[in-house]
Amino acid sequence: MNEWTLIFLMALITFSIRYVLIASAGRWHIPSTIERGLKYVPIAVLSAIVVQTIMVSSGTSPVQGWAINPHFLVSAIVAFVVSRVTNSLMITVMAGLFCYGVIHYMLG
Amino acid sequence: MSSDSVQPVQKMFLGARDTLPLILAAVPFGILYGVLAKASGLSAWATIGMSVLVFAGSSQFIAVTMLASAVAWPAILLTTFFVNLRHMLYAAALVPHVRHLPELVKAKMAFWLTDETFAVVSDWLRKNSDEPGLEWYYFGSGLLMYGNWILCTFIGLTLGQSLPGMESWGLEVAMIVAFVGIVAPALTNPPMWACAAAASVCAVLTWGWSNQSGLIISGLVGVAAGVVMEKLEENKKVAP
Repeated sequence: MNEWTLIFLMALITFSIRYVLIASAGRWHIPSTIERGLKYVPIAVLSAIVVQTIMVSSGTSPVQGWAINPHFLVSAIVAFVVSRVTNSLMITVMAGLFCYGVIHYMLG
Repeated sequence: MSSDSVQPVQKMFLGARDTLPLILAAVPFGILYGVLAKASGLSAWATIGMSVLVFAGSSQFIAVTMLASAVAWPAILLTTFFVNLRHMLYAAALVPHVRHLPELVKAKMAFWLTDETFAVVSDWLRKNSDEPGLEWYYFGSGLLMYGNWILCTFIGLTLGQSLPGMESWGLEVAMIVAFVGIVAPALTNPPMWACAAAASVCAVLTWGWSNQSGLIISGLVGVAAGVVMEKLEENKKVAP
């Protein structure tokens, strides 16, 4: 197999995962309990991505090999507060990056 | 503007505009992918080709890392499958909103489904539920992410190894604050808070599980917590 075979197979797998449920939309009835749960998917998965990205692997941590990156954590908290106040994604991202820049590059 | 007008161009522009803050987060990852792919021995055309055809950041990263350490191809394909499984959750969440759309439109939406576009589109759906023209808004977001991803791959390839230590810059912080900016405004009622809290706790407990399976488990736990809290609230209202 050459590298293009690998790429085509990866593309096939990725597209199938993304397409199979969307393709079936409208062909079957979703049970109402599941349908009401779907609106929680973005908040649930994005929260999990945020939390797992704040946690970093560390050989020195006493707990199960993970620790928290304090600069990421503080930036996330600042972003949370700014987001609740301004309701603007752009301002939130700018404030979060600015905060990270200050604590990471200036305070070390 | 009448409520039933679709206005494709305006909707695409809105989708692209709302995706801009998340582009900031995606740029460094695209460049880093280009740099790592070159180092892994993947040819330049194949590096670009993977971004054009696969268009899935985390699995592309893992693929070039595994190629560099000469891992067997079946293992790379299996990892691709598991790492992208959370997109199935995203697709499920989109199902109620895409039922009426033509097959080709649904196929394009599936191809351009990423964390970022899903985040932006979910936010839009929360604010403008079932307003017509979702597909155009989605395409605006998806095309911007897609074009940006290919461009950044190219930049990374061109830069090559000229950015030593890029991995230690803390690039992930842009993604963290962008996703916080999507989640925080959506926490408007107890079920949403329960969902975010349960998913976060579960994410702590499942951290380090292989192939990001912890994200899927945490996602499902968060969804369940949201639904349970919703039902508890309903019962409270019914009870005297």
